[in-house]
Amino acid sequence: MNNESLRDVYVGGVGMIKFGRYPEENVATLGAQAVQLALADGGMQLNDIEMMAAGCLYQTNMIGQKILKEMGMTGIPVYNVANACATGSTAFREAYFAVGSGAYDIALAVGVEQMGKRGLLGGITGDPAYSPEGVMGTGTMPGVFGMAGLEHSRQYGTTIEQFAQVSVKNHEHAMANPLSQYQVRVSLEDVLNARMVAYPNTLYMCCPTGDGAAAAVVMSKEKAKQFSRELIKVAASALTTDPYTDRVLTFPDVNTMTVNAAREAYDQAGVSPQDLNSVELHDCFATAEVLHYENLQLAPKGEAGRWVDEKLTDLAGPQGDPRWTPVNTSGGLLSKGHPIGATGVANICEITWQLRGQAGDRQVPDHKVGMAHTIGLGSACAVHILTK
Amino acid sequence: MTNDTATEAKPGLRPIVDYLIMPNENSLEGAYLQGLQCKACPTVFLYAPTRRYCAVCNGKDEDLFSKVRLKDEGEVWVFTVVHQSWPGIPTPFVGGIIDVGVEGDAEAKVAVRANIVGVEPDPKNLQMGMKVRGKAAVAHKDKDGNDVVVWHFEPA
Repeated sequence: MNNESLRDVYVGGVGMIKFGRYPEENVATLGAQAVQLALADGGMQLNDIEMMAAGCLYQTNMIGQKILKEMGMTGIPVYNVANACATGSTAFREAYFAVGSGAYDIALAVGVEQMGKRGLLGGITGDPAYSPEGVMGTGTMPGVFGMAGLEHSRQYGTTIEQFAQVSVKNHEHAMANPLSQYQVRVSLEDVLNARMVAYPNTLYMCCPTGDGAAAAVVMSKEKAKQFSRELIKVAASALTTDPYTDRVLTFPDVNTMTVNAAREAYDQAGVSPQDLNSVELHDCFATAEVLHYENLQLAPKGEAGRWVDEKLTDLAGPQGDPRWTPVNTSGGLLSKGHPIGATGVANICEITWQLRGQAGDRQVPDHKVGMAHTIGLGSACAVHILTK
Repeated sequence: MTNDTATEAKPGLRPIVDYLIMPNENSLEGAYLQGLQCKACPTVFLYAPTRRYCAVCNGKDEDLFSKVRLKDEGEVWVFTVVHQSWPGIPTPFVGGIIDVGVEGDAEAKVAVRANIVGVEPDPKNLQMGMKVRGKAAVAHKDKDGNDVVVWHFEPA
């Protein structure tokens, strides 16, 4: 995509509720809270919002409108989007286009999901006797991402310990994020010895289900100057699906669409991987994060395991090393949580806070460029780059 | 769990997927996997009676596909040992992605998702690249008492 014909778009306000479990709430009341936080952060009112894009995967019936029924029925156009685990990112991208096109000056993206203790995503549809699960392999997410990890092991010798270390890191990062669903420190032994879900992903190498909401207001430069404390630019917005690759119709390819989206995003933003100060990437499983080091060009092909060993994506890693790029400072999906519709917008929140220097004890020093990445199988991959 | 000992002829055998072909109505004998090979490009898809177009070359001619027989022999691309699945699914089991060839075409391959049986479900018993051989087996009965037939692989 060529974004040169679009005008510049800026993040004017962000907010998210602490991810967790809120059985007394619903998607509208959760979403409304996130919207209110983003408005307050940007110093604006709901009346200032001209267009809204709402992302929610499992309860897709007019969620944006339901949020407005909770907090202010202003009559603005609302788009409801669903795009697997890239749902929130897709909502953000719609708001980006709304402003970038010049049609609106201020647009709102909100992502929300209420999953409770849903357990493994997916499930048997139709006659259970004719479900292939368990008799013709597996389509569960831990299984698919377990196999994707082993595919990397097959090609490059990546070890189970290297995958597991990602979970240790992201849980440690979350200790500094009060909005994380979990704030639990785990050791490598804890991760390796946890209950096996689908080899090699143990329980702590699988993201939790939960409830959450996040919102972001985007706006033109003029409006951003009027409302915002600091200009945070949406320098790239890329969205891809699977191109055909070997096995993809049988075994989801979690890599190629990320490679393609990242390449496009770097091109749009005019930045290189070395320019990134932090990345929020889609660590739905610990195995996935390792693959995306290479897919997003943080590490050369085949060297993601070494990146783990040298702590090059760890906040506590070697700061002076030019290769050092902290990944998932928020705690990532593994610890912060993954209420699906909210995830993509929450990533935008984290990168925005990092760019503004508001990330507290997890702040990356001198943060100028950040990336947010989500992928959903089926498939959709979004990569956004924010700069200041 | 799959019951790989049930190989005797029975009435009411029902393949679980369209690409598992059973030439003998009352027996697992002769069962095989079927593909659709695009005559234009020549990608192989697992057989589906409703596929009209080629997802690779965008081919859309009438008579675009040849039905091809997939080989019983295959090679494990990747595997996992599933310890937790959806409610009602017995665990543990070994799920794999198996590359299989096409009879009469030395180049073509297609990936099949299947269980790997005949080994204890422990990663130490499995290797990526290991040779396996596929066969039909009765997995369980449906609510009408038919035997539901799957295709799974054993170490060759």
